[in-house]
Amino acid sequence: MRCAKAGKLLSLYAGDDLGGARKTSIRRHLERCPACRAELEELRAAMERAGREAAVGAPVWNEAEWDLLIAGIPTEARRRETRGRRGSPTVLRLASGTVAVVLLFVAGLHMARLTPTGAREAAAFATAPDRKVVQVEMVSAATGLKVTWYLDSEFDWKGE
Amino acid sequence: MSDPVNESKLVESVLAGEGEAFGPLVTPYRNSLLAVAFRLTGNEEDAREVVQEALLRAFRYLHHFDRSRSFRNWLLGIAANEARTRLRLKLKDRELVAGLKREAAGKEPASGDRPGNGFRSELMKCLSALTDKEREIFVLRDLEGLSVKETAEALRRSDIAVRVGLCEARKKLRLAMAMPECGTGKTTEVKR
Repeated sequence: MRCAKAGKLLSLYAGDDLGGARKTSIRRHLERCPACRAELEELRAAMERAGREAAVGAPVWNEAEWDLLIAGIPTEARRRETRGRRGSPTVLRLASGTVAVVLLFVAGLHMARLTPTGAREAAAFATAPDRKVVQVEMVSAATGLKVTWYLDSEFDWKGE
Repeated sequence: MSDPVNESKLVESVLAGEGEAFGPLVTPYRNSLLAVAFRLTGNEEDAREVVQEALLRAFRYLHHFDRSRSFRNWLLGIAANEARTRLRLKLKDRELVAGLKREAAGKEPASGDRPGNGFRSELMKCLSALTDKEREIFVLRDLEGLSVKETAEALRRSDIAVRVGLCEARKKLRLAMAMPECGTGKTTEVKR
């Protein structure tokens, strides 16, 4: 193993977080590379120092503060649970209402196209004796809305 | 650390509705929780709030705890995740960066007359040189003694991600401790 590769794994080796073949390779490399051995020592020293300082300087709870905190946990947890449950039906009601409004709006748009006047014209077109009319019906699976198309089978498009 | 058998009984009691069993269950880990939260948030006040939120979460979701695992590691993972959430909220205002720098410079007085405040600042200086992910991994693995696998489970990351983070964290820590002024937030690559 070369220094470039060993250098990438040294910090894991320093904390004994390497196993198997890579650990063996690093150990063999360290036996013949003083530079990597020096870097390993620096890494271990830094980690040990961090561990020592962490043990000494960490904040701690005082008893009264902790007892007060713990005593309030079950009550606060139940309060949040109740608040969460109460919230859900409201959200569901709002969601249901919104969906209903949207569906009614879409249905309304469809219905608006088929005005009473438009319906009479369509019926007249369909029953005109001199026309061959093809009737096409479309029914919405979501809303049940039925739309009927009356098409002149002899229509010849002369548009540009 | 609590006896696993006793701990299991306490978990069952809490799940059976005996809220008073929660105190004995978590008390052995109170200072570990606070230490982890402090090292991740850089602020003692935030750390105490993080611990409170973590305990609430643990109480509410205790039924999700897998009793074949370590309760301590599960709890520390919750604390780390709560600290991460808080950091994300605070970083929006950039208060955390300013707070860590003030703490690193020793301008914010530590609360109480606890010993080792100078050392705590030195360590916090070095931790501020790490990214949030690196700090989480380093705190759990190297300061709290979880294994790589336990750290990965607690932080919901892969073993590989933890190893990569650990690698970077230790390198940066070595450089930071070797420098007279730490916490610049810059990384110096060691070219070989």
